Amino acid sequence: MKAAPNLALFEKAMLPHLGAAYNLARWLTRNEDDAQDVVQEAYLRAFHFFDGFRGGDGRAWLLAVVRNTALTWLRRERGSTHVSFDEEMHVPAAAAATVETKLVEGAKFAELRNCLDLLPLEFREAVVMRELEEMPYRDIAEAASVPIGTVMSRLSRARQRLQDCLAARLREASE
Amino acid sequence: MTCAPVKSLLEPYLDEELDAVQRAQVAEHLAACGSCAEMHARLLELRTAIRAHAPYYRAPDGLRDQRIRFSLRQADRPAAATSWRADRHRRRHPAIGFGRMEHRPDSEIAYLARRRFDRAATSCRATCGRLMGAHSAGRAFDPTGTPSSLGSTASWTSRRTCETFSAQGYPADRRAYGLRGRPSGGRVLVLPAAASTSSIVFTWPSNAAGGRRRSLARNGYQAVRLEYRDGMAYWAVSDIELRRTAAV
Repeated sequence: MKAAPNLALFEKAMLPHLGAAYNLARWLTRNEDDAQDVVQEAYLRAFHFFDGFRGGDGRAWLLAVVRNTALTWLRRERGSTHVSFDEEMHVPAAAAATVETKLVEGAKFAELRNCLDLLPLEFREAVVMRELEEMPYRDIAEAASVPIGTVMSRLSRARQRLQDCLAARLREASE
Repeated sequence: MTCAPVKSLLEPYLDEELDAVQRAQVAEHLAACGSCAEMHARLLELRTAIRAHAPYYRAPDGLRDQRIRFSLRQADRPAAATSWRADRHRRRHPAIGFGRMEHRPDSEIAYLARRRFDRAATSCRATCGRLMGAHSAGRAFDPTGTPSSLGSTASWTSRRTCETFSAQGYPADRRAYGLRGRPSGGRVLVLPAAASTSSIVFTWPSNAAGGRRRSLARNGYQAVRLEYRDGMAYWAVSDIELRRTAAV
């Protein structure tokens, strides 16, 4: 019989990365509730397979589990549409900001987020891990289970698409 | 170094993935080449925009302690430690769930509702997904709500809902929680069935008028579609036997 992993060790190694796990899941599922379910299931899976963790920085290892869980989740949920209320989109801006500033900032926020959401999943996850998590190529490769060259290629194409998308939005806004 | 190799190294340069020698070579080239410097500036601008404007989604309060640590402790129990695969197997073959009728604490019933029942063929979206995904203007749920006042006075946020369902169990007395601001509303009733057992009754909007009575079993929990009335489908989830669940 397989011995149960040590829960205390697991929590010590993996719970500090909950923020990264949730952020990635949220970007992949595009839904707050699904992200919570994915992260919860990912932690259960990670706990079950914790014997396979060889130490070191657990973030890339955990994000690999989160990513695989999210992909399984998305395959299962494909075809359904669900839009959750986005608290961040409805949080009042700082009182000190002017209305104009708020509008400009809000437009940038929305455009950038829309462009990111339009990226194919493998590009989106690469951007999230590189730009928001500031992970090195090696860790992104481990989390995405691809060679480093593929990470570089995906990042490059993702950035090109983002630049094109943002440029197009700006053109539309100025017309 | 000429423009061609520098262009291929611009992004690794930006990402600080180059060794010291390559880094110095690229920097030297950028100082002398306007075209490559412009490309680099655009990449830098994109990075700045992403880091400034792309949201970093923060994990909701309660996710860590009330869902993840809670479920880890459930999984760490001796009986559960080796059952991950069996549990997955049961999920794929629900009929196997019949026969496991031991009493579970209230909080575990809630756990089922969130993690098992809402993934059944009856659609996660229509049940807990709809219920727990609702947000409101910030009003806490009304603990004095009654079935007759559902939807009119009570509301919750998903965080509060998760707290209620996943960690704190649910109130032992009769309570009703409604969803505010949803087109047709989703509701959940928490009804004690007996001193030692409990049931949760879900209702949600349904297009399936009438229809046959349906039931599900998951890991010893029973779920039965009770009835369809006024555009709402009613399901009961319980750890008690099916006949008694329906009687609730």
